[in-house]
Amino acid sequence: MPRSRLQLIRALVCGACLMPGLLFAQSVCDDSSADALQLLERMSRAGAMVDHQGMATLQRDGDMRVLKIRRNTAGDVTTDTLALLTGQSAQVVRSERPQSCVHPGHALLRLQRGPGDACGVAAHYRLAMESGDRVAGRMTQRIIAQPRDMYRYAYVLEVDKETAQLLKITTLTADGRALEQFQYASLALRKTSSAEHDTGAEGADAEAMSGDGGNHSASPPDNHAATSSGSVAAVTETGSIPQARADWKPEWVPAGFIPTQATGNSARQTYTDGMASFSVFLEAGSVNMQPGEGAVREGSTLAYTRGLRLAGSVVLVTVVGEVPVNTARMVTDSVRLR
Amino acid sequence: MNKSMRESLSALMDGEASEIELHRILASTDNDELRAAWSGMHRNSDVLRGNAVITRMDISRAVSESVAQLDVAPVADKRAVAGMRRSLASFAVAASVTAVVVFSGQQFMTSPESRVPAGAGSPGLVNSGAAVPVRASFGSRAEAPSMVLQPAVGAGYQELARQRLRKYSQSHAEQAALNTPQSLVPFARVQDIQAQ
Repeated sequence: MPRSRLQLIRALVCGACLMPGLLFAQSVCDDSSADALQLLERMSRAGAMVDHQGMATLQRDGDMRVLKIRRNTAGDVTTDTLALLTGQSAQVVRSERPQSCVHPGHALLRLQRGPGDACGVAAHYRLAMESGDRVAGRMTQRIIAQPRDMYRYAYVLEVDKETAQLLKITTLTADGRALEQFQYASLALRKTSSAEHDTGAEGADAEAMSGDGGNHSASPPDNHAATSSGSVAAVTETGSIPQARADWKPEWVPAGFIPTQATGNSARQTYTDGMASFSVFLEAGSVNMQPGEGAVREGSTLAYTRGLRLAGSVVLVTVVGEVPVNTARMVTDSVRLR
Repeated sequence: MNKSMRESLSALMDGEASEIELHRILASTDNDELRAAWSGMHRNSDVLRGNAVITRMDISRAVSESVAQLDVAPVADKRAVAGMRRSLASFAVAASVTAVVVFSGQQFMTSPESRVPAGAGSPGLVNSGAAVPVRASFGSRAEAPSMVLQPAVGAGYQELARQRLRKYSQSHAEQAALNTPQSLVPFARVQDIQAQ
């Protein structure tokens, strides 16, 4: 074979090998549905615009919780209410101004931030869209979000065709095993907001919530507990951690996860990729603590705890979140004191 | 050891490594850092499984060296020799890992005095008085709480993880509710919502 032809063939083979890499470099999310990405953005925005009330279920590990969910808007203030109807009697209320504050997770869904690309969550999930099932009597579009790496779970979302309200979401492992499923059983949507939102039934909830402008305390007679957070700044922490180190951080989190707060409680740092989130907690350990690790999982929520020695100090690092144990272990591996 | 290798090692530890990752790890068995990381992961798992004695034996190096000293019959094809060495090295790593696990298990099983009494050897943060051990479930469906007695240290960390889930889940839910599509639903994952 002539030498020049051989070189030409080599060049073609080399070019063919490099081509996929070049194409991939151009856009990492070309294989994702642009429609799905747009629907996720609509879903994130719709959540802040559509008043609704409904009954829903959360199934995990053979357990099912029945929930009553309500969203009311008055002026520019949106109030979300979640009441547990099975198990513990509890109600959670949160009020905020969604138009003036977009949280980092929703900013990712709305393509408003990210590592300098236009892919948003599609950079880390392969998105596909198809016609969904009827959920709570409403037609849906289904979004299938498959993780591109081993650090996150897969999701199947069923989104209301008309309003883009999220009606059902299933969390699955990479091999397709369902860990958790949330879905509405009934839903009443209301697109307008006015001062007269509450029906008689809702009035009962309002009575339980009244008195302190959104911050609630336990009511002994029926063990009714409630909590609320008015804004990011108003988020309060449970389980205060004495002796926590102020200067620490995980040096590594999976690509696409960003901190939810620029500054927060020094004992907790939370990260989100728009679909999932995990929190890292650091606390001082006892001097005679042996190194080791433990993990428990409930539904999609993992708690991974490891006792280790960092810079001469014995510490306990815990990761709580909706991520696989491998992710939690690697994040813990990278925690450093500064 | 680079990040990619560490990820592969962690995946192997979880039984989630792909065939390519497995080959990559086996091809790097001469890397001391990799061997140290692997030993470290196993030490953690030993403690997790309740083996109070933390073995620091690195059998893999001894096995590999023994394999290297094997007299291999002259073979015309050098690639065949290299292939055989790789196979033996892979076998050596697998055998050494198995040996560490078996050794650790036997040490635990045959040395009752090495067991740490319940409570005494716990990490010091576990209220193990009335604790019910909960089995771990790495990536698998969680098992129902059982009364199966577990070694003190391993059960200690399991119990510690369970306690931390109770303690921190609401704090995590506050942030998850603001930054994931499910609004307040993360609060429904909290076992016992506390008033604030």
